Amino acid sequence: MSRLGTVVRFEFVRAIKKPAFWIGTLALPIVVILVSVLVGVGQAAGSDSVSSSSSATKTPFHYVDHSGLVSASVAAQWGGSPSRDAAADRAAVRAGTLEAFVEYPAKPSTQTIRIDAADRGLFENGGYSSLAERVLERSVAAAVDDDEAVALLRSPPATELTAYADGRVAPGWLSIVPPLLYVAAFFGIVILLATRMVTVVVEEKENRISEMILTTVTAGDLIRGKVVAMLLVGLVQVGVVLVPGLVVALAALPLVASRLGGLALDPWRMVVGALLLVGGVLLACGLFVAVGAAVPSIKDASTLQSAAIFALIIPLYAAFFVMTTPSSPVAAFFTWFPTFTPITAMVRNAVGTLSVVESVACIVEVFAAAAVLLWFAEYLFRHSVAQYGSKVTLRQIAGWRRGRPGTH
Amino acid sequence: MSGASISVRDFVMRFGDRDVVDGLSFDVAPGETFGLLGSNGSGKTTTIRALLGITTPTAGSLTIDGAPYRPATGGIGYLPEERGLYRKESVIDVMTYFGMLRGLRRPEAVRWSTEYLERIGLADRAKLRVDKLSGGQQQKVQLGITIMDRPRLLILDEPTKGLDPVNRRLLLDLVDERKADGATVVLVTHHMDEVERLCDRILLLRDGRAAAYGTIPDVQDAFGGAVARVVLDGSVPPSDRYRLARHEGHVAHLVPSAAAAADGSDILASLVAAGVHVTGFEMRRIPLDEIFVQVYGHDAGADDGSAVGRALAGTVARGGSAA
Repeated sequence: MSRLGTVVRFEFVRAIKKPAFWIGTLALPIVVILVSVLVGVGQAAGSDSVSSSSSATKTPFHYVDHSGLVSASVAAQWGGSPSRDAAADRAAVRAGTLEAFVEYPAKPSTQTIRIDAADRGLFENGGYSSLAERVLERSVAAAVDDDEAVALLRSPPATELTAYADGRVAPGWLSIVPPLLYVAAFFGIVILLATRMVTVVVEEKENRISEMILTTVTAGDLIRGKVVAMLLVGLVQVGVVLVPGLVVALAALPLVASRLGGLALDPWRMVVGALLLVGGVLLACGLFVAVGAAVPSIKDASTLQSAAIFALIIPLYAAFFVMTTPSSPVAAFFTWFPTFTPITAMVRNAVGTLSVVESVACIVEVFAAAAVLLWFAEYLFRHSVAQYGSKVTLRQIAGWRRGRPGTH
Repeated sequence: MSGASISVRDFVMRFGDRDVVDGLSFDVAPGETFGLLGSNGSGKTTTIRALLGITTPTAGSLTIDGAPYRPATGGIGYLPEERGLYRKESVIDVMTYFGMLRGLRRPEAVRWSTEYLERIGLADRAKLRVDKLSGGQQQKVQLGITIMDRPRLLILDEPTKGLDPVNRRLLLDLVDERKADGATVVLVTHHMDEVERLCDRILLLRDGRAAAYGTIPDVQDAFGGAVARVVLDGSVPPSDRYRLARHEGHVAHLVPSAAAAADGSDILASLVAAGVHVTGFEMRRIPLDEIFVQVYGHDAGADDGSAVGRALAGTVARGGSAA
């Protein structure tokens, strides 16, 4: 086995044989699933509660009708009776002797229905609005002698949209999901890779192994072996998350596809997304290796490591803005700033706002930036690998460029 | 097996505006055990790093067997002064990894490591994490990695630092074995007894220059060859017959001046004449640690006209190379 292969094997095997690796790797999807389930259950319970609490129930109330639309009999069915003195009724509500007072405006279609009511709590108070609306709705329906009209008044009609692009049916919302998975994969890899990559790069320096190992393998082979090994480790981690994720997705998609427009795989977007992901991960590797090469210990790496992670994932915070206004200067900045490009371009690619020319340019940019960063990281590593106990300074780097001695 | 040869010519290493090594030249012959000596910061480790291609020299050439060293060349065992291991990995995994990097196949590396661990009494620790070993045990593992695959050139930078006497002896025995096997050994140490026991020739570095270079007798001769060990009461009076090198308790070491008789009789006469009560007197070859103290205990340069300066100039000239 070549020395490069030996380094790759050693770094890969020792990473994946550790229980902590599997705990960390498996914990992420488990935690995500658990949180999703909890949120889903919580939301379901919450919406049930809100809908039930805010639904109209028979409640004693007085009302004033300036519109003339409210039917006294309908109002009476829901506990309402006409007000004789609006001011007195309002005072009664404030005093707690009357549950609610409703004032219907002359034009309810454009004007607001005013309600004064005894407090039932944040969620229960919604029931008063439902009650006032229901009384008005039922009153209007009672005046219409057409079942279809009444049905339309009670529930708006369903619509089915078929959009066309280039003479073919345009993909629906679900079509953005597959290319957006690249963004999720990139985010996950960056988070999982950051500490591991910095740690393995700084390890020889921190443990004073550099000189011993550099008589057996070149600094270049050593760092390349580590990068390849960590990429393989990243693949394992993504696989662990992706396989069950795909199984769940395949099982769940038929349930929601009819509502969201069906799953559509656009080969172009998938290829562009994949290339951006690969280039982005290489760029991230370059950043993390450079961080590891610049510091003497993992403790000293934390600030730079955080900065590197931010530099890669901060476009997530602007993703919605970039998606909705892709031609704005801000979107352009996020698209073309090298460390922002992977996520921004992947998001725009997913929603279809990245043109073919922009796609090619972004891919070229990401790979070029990754190549430069990886070259610089290896250069930094070669020159600093036997520098124990102190950070690499910009002055030192400038000195290396002027031909002062450094490490091979 | 034949050992490797080393050739260093006009080696300069500059850090910033400071020349850490300044025009150093020396050779090490195949199979020779060579002592690279010097005080802290004198340029020893810098020289070795450049020799092994870990750092790039500012000027000059450093070759092993006639060519700059590259890891692919192999055949080198280097135990640096700053040393460690992958602390979270098992002893056997770390040794196997280094063995494979040295070109052994995995089964060979495992077999070699297992045999070595048995020999040094750590066989039962093979599967423990390195950080579970004591400092001395880790050092023995490091030495094992260094001598793995019978290297033709062994470079040991302060190999016995921190070792107890038992482990120190074990380590020196292992070095002896490599010597007997024909390997070239470069030893960096502050222990002059190790140098006297192991080394054929030595190079004393001071401020990045060769301060003395040659066989041990050559260097001793250059520093007067002999020293008078005197057991006495009281202090040592000044005299043009000798120079006081060291005085601890009742024992003083006096370096004869150029004008002094070889048998030291005039030194003794001078002391007695000055009223010193001498209870013991012996002329012996000047020990290396005495030379070390003389070289590094003075600020005098090799050409400052002093006795030390003259000695330094003499050994370097005889060593066949000039700083």
